[in-house]
Amino acid sequence: MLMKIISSLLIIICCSLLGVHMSHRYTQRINNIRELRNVLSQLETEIVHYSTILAHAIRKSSKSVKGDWKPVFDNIVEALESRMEYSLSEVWQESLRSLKHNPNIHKAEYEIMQRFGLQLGNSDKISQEKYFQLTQEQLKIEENSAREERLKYSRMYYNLGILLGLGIAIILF
Amino acid sequence: MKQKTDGLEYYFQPVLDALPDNFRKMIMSVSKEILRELEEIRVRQGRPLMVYSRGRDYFLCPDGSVSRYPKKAYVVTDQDARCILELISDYSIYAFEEELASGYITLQGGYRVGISGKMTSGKDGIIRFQHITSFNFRIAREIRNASNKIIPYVVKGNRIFHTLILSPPQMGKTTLIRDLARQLSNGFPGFSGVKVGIVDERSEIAGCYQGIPQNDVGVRTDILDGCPKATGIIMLIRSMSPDVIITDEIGKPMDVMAIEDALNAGITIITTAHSHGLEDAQRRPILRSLLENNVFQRIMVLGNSLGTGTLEKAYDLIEGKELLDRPIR
Repeated sequence: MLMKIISSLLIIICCSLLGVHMSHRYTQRINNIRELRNVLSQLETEIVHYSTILAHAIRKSSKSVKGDWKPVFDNIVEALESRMEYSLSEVWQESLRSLKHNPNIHKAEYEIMQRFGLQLGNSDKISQEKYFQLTQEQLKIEENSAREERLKYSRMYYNLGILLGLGIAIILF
Repeated sequence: MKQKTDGLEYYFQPVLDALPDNFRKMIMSVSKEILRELEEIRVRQGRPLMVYSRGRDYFLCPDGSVSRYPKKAYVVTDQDARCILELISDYSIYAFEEELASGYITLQGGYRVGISGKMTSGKDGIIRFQHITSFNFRIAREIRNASNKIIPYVVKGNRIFHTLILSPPQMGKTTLIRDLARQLSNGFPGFSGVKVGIVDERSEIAGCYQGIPQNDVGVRTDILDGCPKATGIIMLIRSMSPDVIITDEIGKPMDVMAIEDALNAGITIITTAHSHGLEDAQRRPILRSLLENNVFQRIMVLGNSLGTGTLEKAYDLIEGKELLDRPIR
């Protein structure tokens, strides 16, 4: 009997944790987008107002970034400073690829950043400023939709986890 | 990526860093004799890759050998041109808007890359590049003591004369005044250094990269980089109290006015002009007015009768006589 209770409790805890994990992804996505928007706004200042060389600008802006985008920016800076023959867009796409299957990053923001990488650095300040604004707007839309999704699904996954655990425990009991 | 071969160190590493990898490999395999005297690397999209050395040009083949026949040569692709543009601008075109508009970019080490291509004028009336398709990498060399031959004519005791150096293009004018700046600034036996101001409109003399001179122009030297000559001369007089102002290639009426200001302030001027000699200079209105007003005390004429950078003639305009009986190098 004791064994049964303990194992049932274990099942409930595991399933709840699974639910928490699933619902946590929605929060993570929002955090990632927010961090990204921070980096971009700093990068915009460095580029448009200070004309900082791109590698330095990215390094400076991404210094305090947290979350899943950090290694991507580190990777880009390193590749640019090694001065290999790759073009910036190749470096950018290659570094981004590591996030392709990341559950905390949706296809939408991934594609926004992919497009952004094609324009970064290769035009005058006025055009650069426009690309930054456009990207910021698109990311803002994604941030809002991520918030809505969190409202909708985060709670649901959380409850689903507990209920699933309870369900399995009841069936097995 | 640092690459060196035995004996010959690649002093033009910043230039190699600004080239795509396949170009680097080709240039590295060129014979040392050519590399040692390399003057230009010419990249033109859709046409053969060329290097200019020892007074002639060579076509570069994909295997790194040189050829006299364009057919065998490596043809520059649009991918190469794009890559070079990214590399010379450090992936940051926005940071080089002004340089691009004036037709060249200065690399680290003071090397200059001239650019040309399709231009277009924007709404604000400024002409900008739309497509950049030709690059000319100039391998400038600092030749220390290049000015030794003219110093006896420019400096007497502790007095420096107002000097005009006349020379056709590519005869080592800039190399000469760069070394002159260094020697006047640092001083040499029998001469204690003086404060030198350089107005380096096209970043050729000091080869500044982000404001820091990449060439040795002396310890007492201040540089106004990328500044128009006339404005720069006046700014230097006001702000840096130089004893000597050195500038390159005068040619505008405004330059003449600024030079006269400097003379009134008691500052020595050393400058250069494109010309084949004194008679040629006298035919050009701007130079003629300077010569007629006896602004300069010494005129040096460069040529190539004994090789690049030969001092052909030296005039003393105070006493109206020639100082040289034959060209020296």
